[in-house]
Amino acid sequence: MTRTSGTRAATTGAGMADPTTWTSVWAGLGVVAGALVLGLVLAWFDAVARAGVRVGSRAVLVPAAAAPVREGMRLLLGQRRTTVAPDRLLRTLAVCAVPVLALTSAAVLPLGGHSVVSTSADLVWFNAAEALLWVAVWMLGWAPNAVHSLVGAYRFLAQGLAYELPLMFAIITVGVGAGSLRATDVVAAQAGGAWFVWTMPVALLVFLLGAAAFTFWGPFGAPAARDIAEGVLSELAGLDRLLVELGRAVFLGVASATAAAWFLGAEDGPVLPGAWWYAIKTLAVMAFLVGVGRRLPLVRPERFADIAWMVLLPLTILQTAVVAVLVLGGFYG
Amino acid sequence: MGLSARVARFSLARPHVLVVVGSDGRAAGSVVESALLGRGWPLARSPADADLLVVAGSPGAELAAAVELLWAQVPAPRSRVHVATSSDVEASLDAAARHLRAWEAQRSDDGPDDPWAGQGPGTGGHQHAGNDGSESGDGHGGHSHDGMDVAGLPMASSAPDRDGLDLEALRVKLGPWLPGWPNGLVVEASMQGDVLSDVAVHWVDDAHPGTVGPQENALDALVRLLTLTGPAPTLRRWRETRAAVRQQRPGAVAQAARSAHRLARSRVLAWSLGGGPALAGGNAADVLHRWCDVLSGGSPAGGRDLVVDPQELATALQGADLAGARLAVASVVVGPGRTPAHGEGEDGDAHVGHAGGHHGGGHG
Amino acid sequence: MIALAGLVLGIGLVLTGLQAAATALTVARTPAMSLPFESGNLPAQHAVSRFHVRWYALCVLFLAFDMEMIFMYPWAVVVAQTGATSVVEMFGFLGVLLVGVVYAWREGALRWV
Repeated sequence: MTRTSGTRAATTGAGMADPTTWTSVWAGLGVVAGALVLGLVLAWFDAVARAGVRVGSRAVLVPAAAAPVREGMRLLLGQRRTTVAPDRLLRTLAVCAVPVLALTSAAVLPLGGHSVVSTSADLVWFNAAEALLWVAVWMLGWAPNAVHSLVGAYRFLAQGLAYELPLMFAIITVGVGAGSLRATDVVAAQAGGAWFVWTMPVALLVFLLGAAAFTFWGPFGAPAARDIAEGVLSELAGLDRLLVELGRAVFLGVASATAAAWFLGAEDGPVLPGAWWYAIKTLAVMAFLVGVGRRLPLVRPERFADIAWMVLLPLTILQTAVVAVLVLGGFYG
Repeated sequence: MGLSARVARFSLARPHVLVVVGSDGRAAGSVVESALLGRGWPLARSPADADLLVVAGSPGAELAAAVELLWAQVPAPRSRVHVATSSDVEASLDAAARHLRAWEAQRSDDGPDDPWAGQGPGTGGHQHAGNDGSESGDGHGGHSHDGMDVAGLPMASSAPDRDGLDLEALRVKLGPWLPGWPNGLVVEASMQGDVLSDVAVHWVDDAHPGTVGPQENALDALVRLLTLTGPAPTLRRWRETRAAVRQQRPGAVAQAARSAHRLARSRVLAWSLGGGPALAGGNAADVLHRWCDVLSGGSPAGGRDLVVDPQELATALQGADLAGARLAVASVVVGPGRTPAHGEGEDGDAHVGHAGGHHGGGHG
Repeated sequence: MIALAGLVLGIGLVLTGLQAAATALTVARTPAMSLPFESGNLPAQHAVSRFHVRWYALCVLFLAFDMEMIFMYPWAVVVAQTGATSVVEMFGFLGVLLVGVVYAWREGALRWV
């Protein structure tokens, strides 16, 4: 298990031959398009899992696969909606912020040894995009001046207090292992099968749990649960709702691809081209996330706080400590 | 046919349906439920999420007003249908779906524009509309007004909370319609944060929807609870099981018993349901367990111990948080009560006055 | 930098594209005026008010940790160079914070219902 340089990882990468591509406008546009595709694929997985498909039952599978497109079109056609004395500014900001943050988080996805925005703190970039959702979702719940929506907004904050620290420790563990906060360095450090998942399984699981929680998806859907008539979403219709739902799906899709890059070595793998490996790993992460998440009942924030602070937090700190000791021992090269 | 009409035909093929069931609408409601399951039309989670409003049975005056208000909150394209008896369900749903996708007609509908629609002068609380002067004072349960009316609504006033802090108390009503809620139940309460206090419970139009057998009670309660907690595939299977038992399909009862046995063993679900207020001798997780016993034939009481009085429910919800309260309400069967639970003396009038007084002044 | 401009452009295109598509296709361009949903009842008061946040103790605990995380990002980069001392110092500090968490847990700060 030796560490290879970033340049080598780039050449074994997805075959993005021309480096000038990465400094052009097309790279940014391409990443936005890619993030939208990730969101759509995730929504497909989700719709199939929600329908509770038994293997081979095409009667459910086919309509479920069409569901994300149909629901998206339905919202595009639908009328928007406004309540009495809402905070229009906050609503507009929030409704745009959710998809914008989701697409922004894709900027640090490492692709073939590059990413659109490669900073010395890519991991912090993702962390910041996700943390800003606190503001966005709270504004979303506050703006319509409706009681269920307001309860949902504060549920999201309570949930945030529980998932955020374990998630941050999971992200930092990746940085410690790679000795760098740059996403491309993280991928380079995993070349040759030295995937971080072997030494950081807890961090991977907590990262996925955090992704489900910050998109208030599946078992962490309390801020938009049925008991408060969809909470933060309860007063949204038409384009407004579409933007928020799009943002949630894209964010979860990008987080799946990010997990594939940070913990599963992105393009690293034998025989097949790197891009194939990256796609296969991303799909596997999505299938795992959706397959487990859609089998679990709702986790109320007040039930989750205990577990997050007393179990997940010590576990992730232990995970970071183990990785730090391994770094000292020269394990990661 | 224009582009948007084509897109509409595709995208509204599976409309989201908001079903309101009147006190005499149980039979029609269950036929609607199985029709929706068969068509794969999802249930709406809020009016904003709905395309189709289905009213089953004949609602009384109070529920009818609620239906009008819900309808006024559904954005276009939208369609509504009234299903009086169980025989005309399929035809009514087809007609509603056709209307929903009739794009030119939908374009001219324009959706709701008057937020106070259906609550005009003469109906219910809006009688007080011109009556601004009487705002402060009577019928407000001692809360004083600070005279801050914005868009016809006052701000919440403050009151001491359960821990003795002086905090803003918001008057809210839960029901008659919410997802995973007993049809027609209304819980009125003050909410500080999401903690309920000052709780009163009554049936809409003072009409209890009637009693049914233990099996149906158990299935209703399980579906309500799973509506609130999921997971989605489990909820779907239980809705199908309930429909099968209602239609007396062969083997349905035995199938329900087996599923109940499995559901009762789910420790994750029990954990998810736990922690709420105690009602009928246990929290929602315990009550779920006992309903499962009813279905698998292991309960001598047959679930009679899980039927609670409205007054008992109101007491149990005091000081509960909203999520816990919703689980508690979903878990039990609420009985008719001795008399209308809120109708003691002038209290009943105070409720009406309350709602009317607060939004008095209306939209002007 | 140009790639970043492309990203911003792409995000702008998504938002304006959806807005344009919605305007062209939507059934009604004016939003529906609605009362806030309250289970089929008229709202009695404005919902936006000071919300009783019963997990305020948790917020304080969170802040203590969150500040610590800010130091941890740069620490992650240099841990290999600075060696065992920095690891001992960091996890010693985290240990102190965890003692605080255990104390808060015992005092019931993690439960608010």
